[in-house]
Amino acid sequence: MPDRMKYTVVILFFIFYILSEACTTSRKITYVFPDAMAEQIRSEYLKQCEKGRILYDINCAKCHTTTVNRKAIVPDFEPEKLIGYELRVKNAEHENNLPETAISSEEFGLIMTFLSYKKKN
Amino acid sequence: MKKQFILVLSFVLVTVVLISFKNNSNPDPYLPNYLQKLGDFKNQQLALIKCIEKSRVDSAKDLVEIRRQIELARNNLKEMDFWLRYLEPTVYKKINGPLPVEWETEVFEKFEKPYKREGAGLTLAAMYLDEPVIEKDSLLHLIMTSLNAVHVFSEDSITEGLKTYHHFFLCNRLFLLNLAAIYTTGFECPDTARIIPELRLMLEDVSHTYLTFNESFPNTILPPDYMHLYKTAIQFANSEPENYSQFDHFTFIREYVNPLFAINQKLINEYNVTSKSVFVDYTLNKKSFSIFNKKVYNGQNPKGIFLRVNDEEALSEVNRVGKLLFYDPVLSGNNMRSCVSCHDPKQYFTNTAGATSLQYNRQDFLPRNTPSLVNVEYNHLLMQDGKHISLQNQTKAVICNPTELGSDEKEVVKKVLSCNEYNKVFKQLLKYTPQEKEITLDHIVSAITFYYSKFSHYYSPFDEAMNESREIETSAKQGFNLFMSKAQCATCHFVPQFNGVKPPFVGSEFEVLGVPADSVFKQLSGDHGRFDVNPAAETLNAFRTGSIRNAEHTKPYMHNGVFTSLDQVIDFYDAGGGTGRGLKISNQTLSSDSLHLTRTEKNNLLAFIKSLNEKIGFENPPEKLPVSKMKYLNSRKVGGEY
Repeated sequence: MPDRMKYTVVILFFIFYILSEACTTSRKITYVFPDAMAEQIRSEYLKQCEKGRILYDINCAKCHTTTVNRKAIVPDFEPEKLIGYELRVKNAEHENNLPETAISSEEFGLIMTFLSYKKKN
Repeated sequence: MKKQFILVLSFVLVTVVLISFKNNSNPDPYLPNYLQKLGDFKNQQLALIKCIEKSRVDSAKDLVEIRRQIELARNNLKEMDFWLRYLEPTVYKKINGPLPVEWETEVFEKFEKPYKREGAGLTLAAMYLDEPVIEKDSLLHLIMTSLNAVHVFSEDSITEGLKTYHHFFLCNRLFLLNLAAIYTTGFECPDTARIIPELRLMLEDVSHTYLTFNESFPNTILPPDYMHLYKTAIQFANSEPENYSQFDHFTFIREYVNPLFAINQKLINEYNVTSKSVFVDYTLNKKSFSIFNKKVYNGQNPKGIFLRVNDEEALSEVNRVGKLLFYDPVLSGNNMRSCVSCHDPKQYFTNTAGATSLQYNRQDFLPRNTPSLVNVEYNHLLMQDGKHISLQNQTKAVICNPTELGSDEKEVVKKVLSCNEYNKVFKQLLKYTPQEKEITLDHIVSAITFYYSKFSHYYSPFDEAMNESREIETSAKQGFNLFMSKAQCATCHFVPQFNGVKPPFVGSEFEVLGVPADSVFKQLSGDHGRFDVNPAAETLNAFRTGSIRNAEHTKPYMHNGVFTSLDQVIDFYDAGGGTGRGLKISNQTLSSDSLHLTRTEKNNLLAFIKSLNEKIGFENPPEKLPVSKMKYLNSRKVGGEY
């Protein structure tokens, strides 16, 4: 009897683990900062990146984030794509969906900081 | 045999006729028309260069011929302006730059340092001919630079874009905005006698461009109502006097340009036009159907961190706490000063009592006149020296400036949140700003900018005359016509905001006027202006051009508040600014010649300026301020003490 219960508990835990893994939609994001970056500046950048990550989720993820094996993948953008007015105007979708009344230049800056320092996939 | 020969001959003839007929009416004439005009423009510039090369620049007779050749090249330019200005605006400055050197900060690069752009081309060449000593090489350089720049416009990257219809409606939008703002004012036309002739030429030529477009893009045409209205616009321009000071700018814009703009905006929406320009369309709003709609371009973001809040209830809460904060001296170091101390809502959000406002130390005065906050959101750079790029940064700087509100970030957040009312509202609003874990100074200043910016959304009798064809006094109309011509106001105070933001509304302009330190012109004001932010020979004593809206109510005037009446201001410009009054300023951007305005003309200008008084719905101050947990704060007065 206790053995069976043990099994049940283990199996239940296992199922719970699988379920909770499957429900996690966003993978933990890690950042890569240059080695030479001073600790204080690094923590400041980290804060900016985290703000940028949330703004990315609100404004960009719907179109750009892909799901692979139930895990959300934030794509790696080429640095030359991460220029303010390129983002805003050159892309016809952006021009319609992301006007200045939907996202400010400052916020675009935070998103670009996030995308620039995010660890590459 | 003979019969057969005739038959073959007639067959050949018919074929030849058919082919040649087909050639005559090319079904796709739009791009060839562009290339043809571009070729003509290049050739005329080559002719101009040849003419300069074989001329003697000290010979008056040769100079006459050079001028004539420049004029011919300008005509070619006017035929191309419709495209050139839109397709490559920075390259355009090499062809028709208004100034030898410009320092620019475009809206999408506000975070970067201003960068230097050197102008060249026909306008500068024509102006150079008026210099006392002319050097052939310098003159040639101006034209060669322009010719090189013109080559850019035949590159594939540009001509490919002309194969779809999208760019056309955006070129046309800029063209119409410029018809309202610069083409009739002499902004880039040093010879005032040529302004209206060049305008007529351009209108006629764009009409031809329209026809070729409609042939090449039959599915996205300019419809008959547009074409008809445009034709009547040409007729109007042709029937008006050739002197730009007698031209009826008011009727031209109200009856023709603005309605054409409305149709073009409608087409942009209908045809799903998308921008290919990284530059020109940045701030323009597709959903605005009048040039005099205040939403025609996006300036600042008054909502700040609450940008994406659209819920009416939440916004009314932002507005409510914004208003309380605006009147609350809790923002100051000594809890005795508030925003209202300098920006009195009863005085159009400025201080009309003196030249400049009192400092924090209660003894000295600030170096610059307090600007009105009304319509400030339609600027890209803020402050008279353009130091700030956002309303929220500006507000923060005032709070932390030891001569203004004399507080600091931590202190302000702590004191504000010690008031339960503020704390509660901002906490509820936190869900709209998930990127911020706690309430920050950004939340506080965003509420303030949101509150005061709503007073910028009102219209003046002049706007109503333009938008709803309401009547305004004849003197105001005549004043506007002068403003656009002889009085030379509109070359810096651009339609529609009458500030330093000109189409396509991506930057703020600065001017050196030679404003004196005193009203009797003993010496130049010692304030270096833009130079303090961006040191350069051109920026010394330069100040950002403000709006003339509500000017009647926002005295005193100029960066140091030196003039107490609009009459003084008009007299200052009439005399040719500081240099016109004998001050020595090497870089004044205002002409030092007198404008020769008559008393009646000055009165008409005043009537026009007064027609820009907006019908603002001002509010009463709050009755009391939120109660704080810190007892010593609860004796603070609404609006502060000084």
